[in-house]
Amino acid sequence: MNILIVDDSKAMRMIVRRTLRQAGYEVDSVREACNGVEGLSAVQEDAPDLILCDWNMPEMSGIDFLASLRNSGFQTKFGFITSESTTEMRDKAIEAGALFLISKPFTADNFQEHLDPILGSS
Amino acid sequence: MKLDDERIFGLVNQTWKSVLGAELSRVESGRPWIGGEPCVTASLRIAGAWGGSAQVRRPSAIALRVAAEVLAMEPQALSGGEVRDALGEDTNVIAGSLKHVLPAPCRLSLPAVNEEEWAGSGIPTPGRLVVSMDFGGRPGLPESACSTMERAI
Repeated sequence: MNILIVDDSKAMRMIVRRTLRQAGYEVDSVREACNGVEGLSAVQEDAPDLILCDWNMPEMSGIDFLASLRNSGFQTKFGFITSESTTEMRDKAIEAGALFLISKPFTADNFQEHLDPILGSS
Repeated sequence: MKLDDERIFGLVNQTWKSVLGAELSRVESGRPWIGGEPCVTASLRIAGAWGGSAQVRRPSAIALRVAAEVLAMEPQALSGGEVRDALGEDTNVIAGSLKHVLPAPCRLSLPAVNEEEWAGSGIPTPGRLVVSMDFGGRPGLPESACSTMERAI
């Protein structure tokens, strides 16, 4: 399984990596990107199995990144990990093609709750 | 839902457990524990149905050690930007949790992180909640180190 983590915070990318390990997922490779623009390049180069993406980022936000992905024909599994998670944001994310939205702060249990149905039990 | 110092401590502690898997403990309110020493402070504005700001302040030495732990790096290998990033993201997550207990709708600004010689005492005043926390018991962190969380309106 190859995962792409898109977040402008290096600290948060590290925390997401750690939580994936704590949740027990066997990940072959984790690639990181700082924003949607870098994320698009990474998807074109590596075709990840899953994208975990922040919402608010410079250059290109998470929701714009998701729209660009879908417009470019990529159907990569996509989930948001964000500190702001209103009902409106959740609806917008699902409508755009995201599978889930995880609120920060999160735990390994939160990851399993959302990722197990997609990736299979850890 | 009532917003008080106990509630803020709960939110910060929840974030701390999520990030580092450790528990925080509270320090007596108003204890002048970081006056006059270099600090790193992250501030974030909250606007909308509730207006105010949230701040997280740590002595620079503690901010460095926390960032090293979050990023799994040696403290001496960290840049100032990485230390500010770690505190800024921590504050962002705490404010995101805070938002869930505030009247809706509210918007959060991005955190602004500054290094400063902070001479305040951390004493609560009308309209300002101050919650001080101790990182004691966490391996690799000094037992007497503290962080503070302030909410100003």
